[in-house]
Amino acid sequence: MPEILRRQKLLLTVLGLVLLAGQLMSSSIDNDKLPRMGSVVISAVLSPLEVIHHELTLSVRRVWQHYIWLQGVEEERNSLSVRMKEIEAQNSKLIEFEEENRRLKDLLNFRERTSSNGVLATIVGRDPSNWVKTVTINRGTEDGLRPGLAVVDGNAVVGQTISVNQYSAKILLLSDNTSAIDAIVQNSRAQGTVEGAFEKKLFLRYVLREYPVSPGDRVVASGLDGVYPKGTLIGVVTTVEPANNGLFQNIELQPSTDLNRLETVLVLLPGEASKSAPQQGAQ
Amino acid sequence: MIRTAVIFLALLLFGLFIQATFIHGLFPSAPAPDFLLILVVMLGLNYKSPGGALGAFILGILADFASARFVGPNAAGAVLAFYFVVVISGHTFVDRGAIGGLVAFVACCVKSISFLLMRWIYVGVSPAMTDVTALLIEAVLTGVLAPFVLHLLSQRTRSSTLGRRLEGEMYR
Repeated sequence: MPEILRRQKLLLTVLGLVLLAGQLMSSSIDNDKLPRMGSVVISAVLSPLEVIHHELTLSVRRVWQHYIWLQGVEEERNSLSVRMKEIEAQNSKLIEFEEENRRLKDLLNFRERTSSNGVLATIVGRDPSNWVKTVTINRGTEDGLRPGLAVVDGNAVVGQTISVNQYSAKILLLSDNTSAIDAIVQNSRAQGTVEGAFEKKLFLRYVLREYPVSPGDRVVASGLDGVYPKGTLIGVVTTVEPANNGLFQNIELQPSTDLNRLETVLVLLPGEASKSAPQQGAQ
Repeated sequence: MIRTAVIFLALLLFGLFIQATFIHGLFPSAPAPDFLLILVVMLGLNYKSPGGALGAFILGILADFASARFVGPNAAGAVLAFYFVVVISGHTFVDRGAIGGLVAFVACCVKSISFLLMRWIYVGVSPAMTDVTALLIEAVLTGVLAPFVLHLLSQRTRSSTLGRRLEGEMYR
């Protein structure tokens, strides 16, 4: 027997570790303290590196766009005057500032519309796994964040905070398979739950067959989950399939924000989530 | 031993950092290649011991912690992928090149299927057609990237004292 154990040591170790992983999975579903604690430790190590990487990337991009690239243009077009080059450089900067300004204005408008108090944050990292849709932001408990806060961009729901440490936080995006938001269809007022699907679509579940829903309808947060402000846009209906025998319709949505290209988001602070966003919904 | 463990952990954290920043930065709107899985393949090729399996498990656990969602699915997937590589490398000459890429492709499928199964069993999210598409894209990209990374890592590992140290510890 000990000989068999010795020969199969690796297989037994693998089986033991898989069973341990299953046990940990089971425990982490019952109690999310373990993943949160682990995340806080990992974030404490990785977040500073992610922030440095983000800043470095921005700096390199700026240098490339505003210096090296323009030097290339200068060489190619010797006939252009120095003044013209300066204007081009300024123009390039202004376009970037304009874009940044637009994003920040959207976020500010959202804050004004909802009367909610929020914290602006920058995305500094993404989840290492392709199967979990989370991102890391550069704000944490120091800025008043805690788990379970709504995160929006200028137009729509992005997700919610799930793990927060001192200077960074993890956001579970609404596109994650385990994400669920209580929602209503704006026209028919049909109520359902928006669930994440992989990549660029969402599902609206549990909408009864008798409620008319058609492609193009806007789906907004109902506010009943106590996380997202009522009326915040989630997405637009793309396809509706009436279930043949079931009670509910199969509805697919297109998220209103491109979750893969997020740069800046607004985290809504506690106590403000229940306030409604009527203008947002009425647009 | 403690020093080796600390250096190994630092390497794993560096892998996580690379995956969370550079790799996802290169593939913003598509499934990205799994750099961590390539590290698991490297472990399976070079450290065919319970220590190697433990290394794969720790790597998976760190990825789970980084996700802040559930603890276990990446760890189980990494251990199973590790065992697959150990078994297959015992029957086939797997070092680098196209065979290494093919092994990484299948190992990536093993890890992802394990992840999806655990999510299905424990959370109740059943795998969809989009998951299958994403799984295949991820596995293909990982298979393409793997030969280069394995080649780089094998050179580094052989030339460094850390590699020799790790090797010695893992075989013990």
